[in-house]
Amino acid sequence: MSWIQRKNLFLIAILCLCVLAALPLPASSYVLMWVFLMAVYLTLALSYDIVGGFLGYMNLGHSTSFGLGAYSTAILLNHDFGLALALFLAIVFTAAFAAIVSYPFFRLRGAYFALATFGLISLMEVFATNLQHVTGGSGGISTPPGDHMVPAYYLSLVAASGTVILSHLLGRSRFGLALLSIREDEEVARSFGVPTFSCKSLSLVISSVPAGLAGGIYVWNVTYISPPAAFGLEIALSPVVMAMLGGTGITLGPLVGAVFITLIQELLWIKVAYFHVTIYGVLLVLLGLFMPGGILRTRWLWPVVQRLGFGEKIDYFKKQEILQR
Amino acid sequence: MASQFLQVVVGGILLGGIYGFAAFGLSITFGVLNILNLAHGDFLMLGSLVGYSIFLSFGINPFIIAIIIIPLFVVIGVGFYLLLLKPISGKPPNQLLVASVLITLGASIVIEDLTSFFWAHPITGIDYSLPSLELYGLVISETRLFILLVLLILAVSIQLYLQKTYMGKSIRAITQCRGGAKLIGIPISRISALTFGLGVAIAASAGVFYITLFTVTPVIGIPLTVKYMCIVVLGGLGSLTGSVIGGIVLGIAESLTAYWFGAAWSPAVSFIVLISILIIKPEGLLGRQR
Amino acid sequence: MRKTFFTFFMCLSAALLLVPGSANSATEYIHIGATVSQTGRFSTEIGPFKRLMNAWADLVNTQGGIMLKEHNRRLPVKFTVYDDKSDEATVKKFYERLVTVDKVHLLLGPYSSPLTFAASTAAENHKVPFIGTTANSPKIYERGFKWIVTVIDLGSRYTYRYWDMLKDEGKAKSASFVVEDTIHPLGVFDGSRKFAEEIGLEVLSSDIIPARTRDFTPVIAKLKKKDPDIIFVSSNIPFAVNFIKQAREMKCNPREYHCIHHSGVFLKPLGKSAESIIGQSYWVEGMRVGDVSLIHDVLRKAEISEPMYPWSPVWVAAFQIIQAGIQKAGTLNNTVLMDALKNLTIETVLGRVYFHETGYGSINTYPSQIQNGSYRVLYPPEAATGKHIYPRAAWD
Repeated sequence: MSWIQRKNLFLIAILCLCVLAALPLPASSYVLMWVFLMAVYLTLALSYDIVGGFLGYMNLGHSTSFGLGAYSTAILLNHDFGLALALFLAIVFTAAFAAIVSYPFFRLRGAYFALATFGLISLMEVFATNLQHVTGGSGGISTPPGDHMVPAYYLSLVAASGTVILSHLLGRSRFGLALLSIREDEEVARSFGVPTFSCKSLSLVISSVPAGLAGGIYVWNVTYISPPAAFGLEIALSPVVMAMLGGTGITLGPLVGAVFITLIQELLWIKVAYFHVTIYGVLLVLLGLFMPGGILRTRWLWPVVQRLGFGEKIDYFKKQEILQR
Repeated sequence: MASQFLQVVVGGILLGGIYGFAAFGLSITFGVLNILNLAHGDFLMLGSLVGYSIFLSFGINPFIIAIIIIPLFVVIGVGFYLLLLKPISGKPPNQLLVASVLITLGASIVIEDLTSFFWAHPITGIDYSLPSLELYGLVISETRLFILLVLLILAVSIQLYLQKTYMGKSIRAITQCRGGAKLIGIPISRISALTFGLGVAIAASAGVFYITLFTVTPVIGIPLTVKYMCIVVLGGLGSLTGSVIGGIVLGIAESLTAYWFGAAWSPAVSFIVLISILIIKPEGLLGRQR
Repeated sequence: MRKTFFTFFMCLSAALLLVPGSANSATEYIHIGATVSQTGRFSTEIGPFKRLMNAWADLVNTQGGIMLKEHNRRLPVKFTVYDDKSDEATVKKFYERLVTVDKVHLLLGPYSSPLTFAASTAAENHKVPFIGTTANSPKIYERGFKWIVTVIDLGSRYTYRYWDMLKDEGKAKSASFVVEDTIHPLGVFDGSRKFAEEIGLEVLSSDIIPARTRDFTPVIAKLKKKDPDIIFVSSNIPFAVNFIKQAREMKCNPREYHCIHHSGVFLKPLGKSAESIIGQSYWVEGMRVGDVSLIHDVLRKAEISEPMYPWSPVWVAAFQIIQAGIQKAGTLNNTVLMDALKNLTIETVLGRVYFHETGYGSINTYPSQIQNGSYRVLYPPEAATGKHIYPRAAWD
């Protein structure tokens, strides 16, 4: 077991990145598309966990940032903006929206916050459908056609790796510690002088950036976005489930969760003719019942994670049951 | 012009009756147990499909069917609770939220997929209608009027139940202070299970009415759940009359929005109302300070 | 130990994933690829269509398959079908898989224009013949793609025969449109409104309403006041059913109701309320157009009922096109096959089909009216099985 060391993990990570970088040569566009989608979801799951895991606020409306990023990029691309500028402006817009939205929404907690953010997505979907002149209405928008598979693939890998690093650094930082303290007990944190509101708001803005970027890259590759694709249930809940499956609150958690779920989903969809959705649902139920802390927090893997130095500063899912207050 | 406006408002009230009815069950489960049940709309859907089958086989009046299926769904609800929700009921709040979302979401997905597979029709609706009343130039749908009446009777009777009976008082005790209720010997898990069963049964009952008025597909579950959560929050947690009033308020709001701004904006109403209420008065219209 | 197993399991899964599914060793069979929306928002339209494809393949294979001159024998047909979740990115991914991993000879399109938009891109990039089914948005055909042909005509022409009929009769004077805010109904509405204006009808109002709307009281109240001769509901079935139910409750009585999709699933929840409603059908029992025995055989074998899934005849027509195209080309070579398809003109179960330069087809719908619980095609006279009842009996 002595090979389980931090530096070995980094070596493995670099090896994986090299393999992924070289993939376009031998692999078919199908494999590239598959890895691309996984990278997009990974980015979403990791950025979700900044608010959902570190801050402890279940932001079910995370895909709002994705959808806004996608739509903004699509609109800008259609007005002949270059990709880089379009992505940049889309991210700025998404972040600004997150900042504005944080004012009213962070007055809520727990299930209320989850519900309100979930409602926000539906609201966005209505706006996307109704503002036809801007958003193309229910039919959606197509961006200028072209085969961007390979560059989009690389972009998505860059985005995903960047988000991993961002999440890791955030977890290590003083700001991250503030978020954890808010998660554990917001009143106490405030009485210790932690500026809770600005921390919460900033974390939402930070989490919206990778999500918006992911949305932009997605639309550039698929060359089409519509209200259900941007603000639908699938894109809203999948990153959340991935983060929870892997382990919410841990940097590696969403990473593991995203890879795992993408693999399992693809296997199910290809090999199992019927009931693939049911199996997926059963998986979620079992997860909720037995492993709400996620894969990484199971008895076998948790020591490994801790030994690699990726454990938590503050335990999110405590082992012992607390008597209700 | 005035009569058109009035027609729209009346339409809104009647629509609200259906909303309130469907949200009623959710008010019971969420209010009492504090678990975010994403599968609530699916129980409504199941109730409507069961109601449809009974209607097709025996031709019984839907109003009667709505009552008959209650015992069945109480059992289903209790089973659902004991199997899936009781194990997590003791957890601290943030774990509870995560776990309940996962479990109820998973359950919703399973129910919807299995129903899609086994239920032969992609879309279902009952061909049942009562003639409409015409009063002073307003056309009022009798079916909806009756549903509203049934809802009011139901709301009043459940309120009485909660005030007067031992079971009812136990439920209120659990809602107000779980630890205290435990201390004085109230069997929490049993009462919670029964409450959940009751909430599910009312949802299924509402489903029977729903399919009389609208069509049902297996996947209507989650959007409906979200809308009814809005109503519950609007009306105020822990207040059953609140959800009735919340339903009616939402019904009127949606109808007027459709009339003034065009039907395209109606779906936005429930969310705007939700977000506004959560920001202005999080306890809801009739809720108590938490 | 567990970890080793876990890693092994992961590697195995990855290997399973990347290994080509049914690698096409030279030409042992005709391999057709497709996706079906088994889950997601389109599942109510075509969910069980995998059965449809396999049923047709079985029927063809009992005769040995399709004749290929190049090989001097018949080759059996095999389908590889994935569930596309009614999602564009998934469609793109699976069509790429069908072409690169499963190496199919032909592609059959998914349901709806947005999904076909994504799917046809893969076909174009890899030069595989693509037969579109229910994709009638003009945007698909404005890209200059060379590898697509589609069964049906553009959405805007969907209802032209109905308006021709009204023009001949000359009785209706005004119309109001109620449109579901979804791609297909919107496209049909666009074309229909132009036709209405062309034949001189006064368009009193057009309401575009969100797809998930269930309560139409405000809209109906407005329509009652305006009192058009025709209320034209361009929508999918759940929307239309709810609309008509409530229109009846509110006693809204125009001279005619038109609901573009009005087949079986529409009829059941409405019962008597559906009487005299006109809609558009590709095919109706008893129609005197095309040889319909194939529809009967395939649907019966697949256990799919046409009223429940009104798009099924379109797929059957697509199968015929595939078969005729392959036979004409005599080979599975993609260029020759595509050429043969593009220049194909055959009689299908839905009538004569030919393809326009940019790829869209020529199949269109007929106006049909519900009379005593069954459907009668009204126009043109060569295809008609009943007479137009106008004005309809009012509800009281």
